[in-house]
Amino acid sequence: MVGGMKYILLKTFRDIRETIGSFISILVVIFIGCFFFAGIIEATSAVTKQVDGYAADLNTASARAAYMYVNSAAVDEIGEAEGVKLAAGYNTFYAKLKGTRTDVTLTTLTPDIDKPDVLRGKLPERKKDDGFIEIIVDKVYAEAHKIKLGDTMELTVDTLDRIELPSMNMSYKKLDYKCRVSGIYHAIDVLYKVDVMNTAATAEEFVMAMVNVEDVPLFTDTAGIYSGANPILPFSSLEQAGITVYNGIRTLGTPENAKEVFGAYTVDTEDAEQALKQIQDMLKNPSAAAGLFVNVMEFDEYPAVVAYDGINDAISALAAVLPFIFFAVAAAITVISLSKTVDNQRMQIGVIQAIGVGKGAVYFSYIFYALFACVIGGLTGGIVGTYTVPYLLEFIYEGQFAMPPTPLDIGVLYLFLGVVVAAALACVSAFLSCHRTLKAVPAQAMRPKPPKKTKRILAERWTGLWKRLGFGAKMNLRNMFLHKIRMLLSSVGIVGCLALLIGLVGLKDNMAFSFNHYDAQSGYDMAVYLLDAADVAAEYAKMEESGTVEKLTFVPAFSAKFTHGKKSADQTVMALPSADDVRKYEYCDVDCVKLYTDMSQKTRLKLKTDTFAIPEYLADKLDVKAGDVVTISGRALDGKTAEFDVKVTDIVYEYFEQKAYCSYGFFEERGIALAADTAYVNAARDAEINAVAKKIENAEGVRGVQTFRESFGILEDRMSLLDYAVILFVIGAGVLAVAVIYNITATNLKERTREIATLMVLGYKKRETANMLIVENMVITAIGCLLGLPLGFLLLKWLVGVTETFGVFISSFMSWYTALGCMALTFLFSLVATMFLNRKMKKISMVEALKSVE
Amino acid sequence: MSLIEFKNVSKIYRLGEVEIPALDGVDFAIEEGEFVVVLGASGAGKSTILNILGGMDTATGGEVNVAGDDITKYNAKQMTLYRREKVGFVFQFYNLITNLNALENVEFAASVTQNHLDPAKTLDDVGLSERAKNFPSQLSGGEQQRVAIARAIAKNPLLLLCDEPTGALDYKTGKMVLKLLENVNAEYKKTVVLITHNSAIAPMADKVIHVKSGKVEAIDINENRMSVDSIEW
Ligand SMILES: Nc1ncnc2c1ncn2[C@@H]1O[C@H](COP(=O)(O)OP(=O)(O)OP(=O)(O)O)[C@@H](O)[C@H]1O
Ligand SMILES: [Mg+2]
Repeated sequence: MVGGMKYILLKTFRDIRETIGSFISILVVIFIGCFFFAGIIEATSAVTKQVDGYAADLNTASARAAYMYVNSAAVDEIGEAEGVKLAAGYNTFYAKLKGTRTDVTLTTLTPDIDKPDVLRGKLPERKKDDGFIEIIVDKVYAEAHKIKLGDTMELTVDTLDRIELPSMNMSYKKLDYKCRVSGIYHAIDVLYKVDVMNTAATAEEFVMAMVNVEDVPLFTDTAGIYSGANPILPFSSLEQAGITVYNGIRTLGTPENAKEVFGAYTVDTEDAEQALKQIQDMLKNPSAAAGLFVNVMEFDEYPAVVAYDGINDAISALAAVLPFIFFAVAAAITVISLSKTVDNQRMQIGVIQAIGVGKGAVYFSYIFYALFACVIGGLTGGIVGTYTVPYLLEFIYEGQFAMPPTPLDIGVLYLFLGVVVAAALACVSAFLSCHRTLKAVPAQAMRPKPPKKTKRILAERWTGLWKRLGFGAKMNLRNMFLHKIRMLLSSVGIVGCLALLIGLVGLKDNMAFSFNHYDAQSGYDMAVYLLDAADVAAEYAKMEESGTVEKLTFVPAFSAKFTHGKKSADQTVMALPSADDVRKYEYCDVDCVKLYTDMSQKTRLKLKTDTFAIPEYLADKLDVKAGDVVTISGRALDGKTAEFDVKVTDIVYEYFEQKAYCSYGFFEERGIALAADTAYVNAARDAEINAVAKKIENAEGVRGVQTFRESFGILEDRMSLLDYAVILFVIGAGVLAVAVIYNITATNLKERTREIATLMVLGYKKRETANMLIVENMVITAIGCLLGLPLGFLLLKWLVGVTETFGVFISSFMSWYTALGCMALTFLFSLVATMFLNRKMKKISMVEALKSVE
Repeated sequence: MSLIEFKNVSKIYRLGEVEIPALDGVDFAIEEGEFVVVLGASGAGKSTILNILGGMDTATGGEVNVAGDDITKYNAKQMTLYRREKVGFVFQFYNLITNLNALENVEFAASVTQNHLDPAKTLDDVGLSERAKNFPSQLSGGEQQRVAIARAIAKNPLLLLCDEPTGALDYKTGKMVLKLLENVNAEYKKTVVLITHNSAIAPMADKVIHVKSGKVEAIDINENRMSVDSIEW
């Protein structure tokens, strides 16, 4: 059979040349599908591999546990625990660059775990005689501020000063250190560029630094456990007993029940007596493991890792779904153009079989047509995608993360997977296209195709209208109604195009809406993160006198677990002042956060004492309506736990700062302390917001300040990643629509050349005949739009769901102007494709068209 | 034994509820090397006979023996093999592969068959060696039909089956095509079965099978076969 095959192939290649337009349109759609599929999945996998590999190279801690304190005996014990390869005690400090608003996360070096990747300079040496201590600072900050080796900087470090009994409240003292930069490094925490407080994630205002553990003490000299003014237990006694304590443990390898292993030595922090006793015991027996455990985070829970993986996962989710729109469209146009080709070649199919060629070979010739388009389009698209998108993604990520200096490890798995998927679809659609003609006996193929039952179409029954229609319109209507399936298939491309447009443009649109809402919702100028509320109130009072500030509101919070039936979710409950509260409290502003009970921001929610409002996303998640009762359990800032049932009175719309809200009075009634770690402040004049922020930041009792504009900007930055996706997919959608309409038009023209030629013989002008095809295309586009609209909405909903991994909950409505705009764009694409038709139309010659017998 | 034997062959088409008996107990025999004309009115069942004989369609009942084998027993694969090695077809509407040129069309058919003739020579035999590189759309109807005949001959088949090969041609061209078939029959000693509804052609055959309403009405044997040159219609 090898001989016959040669001619079958030859024929197929010439078929391809003859229908080059259709062929290219299939190829292009597959190209884009594979480009996205292979490109994006490979890109996310490559950057993940790159980051994971980098993390492994640096022995990044697989768990980091935070303690109030933990002694080295405990560190040693944890090092022996099942699943832990290595454990080391270290200290973390919150610090500031002195006199600036720049946050510093200062951690101490540990041998072998969390090794810094020193890019320039060297690891810090012990403190020099000149009073400087050596530090290494992260590359991102160093680059943003042109830090050179040997530069000096002064750090103000929050150092633990007192643990108060019986509340166990900790207070800190700011100690200043003169530092010299000994090296610039690149570590995994820098990579993620998110500080632990998540208050300032911009490179300009956030620096990570590492230092030798001996150079920065964990406690002040006078630190200890106090009751009133007197130290019950000065920490200096620990040192005298030769006991080293840390406030964190890093491990390589994670124990099975991390919380239990790390928390093994802890005592109930609510019971101050026990904590005191533990330290006293430790003094008696220094080799006994002891510590007050706060929490542990495993690698994939690090806030930075969560942020990075979230974005990466969202992008690969896009890649895993969106390309299938392209594949589906490719399959549809393959079926359309191939089944028309098969129809046109019925007789030839019969003849080839008459010659003695098996059906297999005939199937092959059509499958080859589709497969060839898929393999060429898929391979090129896949290759281009695989070798460009990862670099593009790395480049985009560089705006958001500090990517490792290691090269990307690009594989070809997804390239081939994409081609295989596309090829499988091609085979199936080609098979379906010629199956009907081929399953019959060859003699059947030699007879003309049984004509469609020429039923009267619906419109014909409507005689009044029918009579009034022109001949062209009648022909169009008949044509369309008699080929319903084909019309539907033809519209698949439009459906895909519109769905993509609505999905992505709608997402942007909703995002913008949510941003506006966020803007309208916030009545404060800056959020102040508190170490000591009383200090801040005192500072505020001074500033108020000088007229620079005008509003201060403390926002007590309660981190809670919500349960409703079988569903549960974690959510912070924040208390805001109600109108009643305003009378009782000196500092509070009812407008610091405006809550809205409808999306269009018309209905303000006025807090009352019994108000309990939850955000819409939470209501969805818990399946709760206003009026339902939910159970809440959790721990307030003062460490007290509580559990109670509460009736949800309102659902509020909130997109970026998800919280449940109640009034101060609500907390009071339930005995929850109004302890706050955040306060909202308004400057008297907008122009002075930054100056006020700086002033407050340097005040006693303040951990940090972030203006609303800053947090808004950070969010905008993070969301701007999406713009790239939107642009890419809008281009994709355009190509999709153009390719499909072009394909349909080309095959339509080919099929109806005789018909058109006949019309021309009858005296129809080319224009008029062209109009018929334009009308048909527009009808197909309209049908596609009709189907694409709901699909687009579904896609939008899904995309909105994906953005939840970005940590935001945005609305998912479809505005009429998005819908109209996207439809207009789709029609435009469709018109552009129809323009190509004019050229083809001009080429039709009456003589040629009517001569051939087929 | 005859080369071809139709024994009580029937063919029923089912169109939903309706049964159309296209053939209803057809019996005839054809000897090797004979030139046979099948005559009958439109719808009589001529093409059905030819299609069954050529392995293009299956009979509903009866036996079709070709060189001793009952081809109605063949499965699809054997059918394909049978068409490949034993049969050459010529159709009313030429049915060349539009995207292969004249020579390639002939080569294609030849390449499928093991015991084929030289395609270029066969094309020369039908007088078209000059148009070898032309595509079907560039050839006249008569020329296309000659390519189709060359295509059938090149396979060096046992049977040459022609379904109204002159149906779409003018008198002169039709005559030329018939002449060609006559030569093939004479020179290559091929058994030729030719369908026509033009009874004037009948004298050129060794045997004329008259078909009417799915039945063989009569079989005439021409003792004195006339050359097509001397037939006028
Ligand atoms: N696929 C089919 N389905 C139903 N009936 C068919 C089919 N093919 C042929 N017939 C019927 O079988 C009968 C014989 O048809 P056939 O094609 O053999 O006639 P014919 O003698 O070749 O006529 P013509 O000279 O017009 O070609 C006709 O009545 C025809 O309608
Ligand atoms: Mg016939």
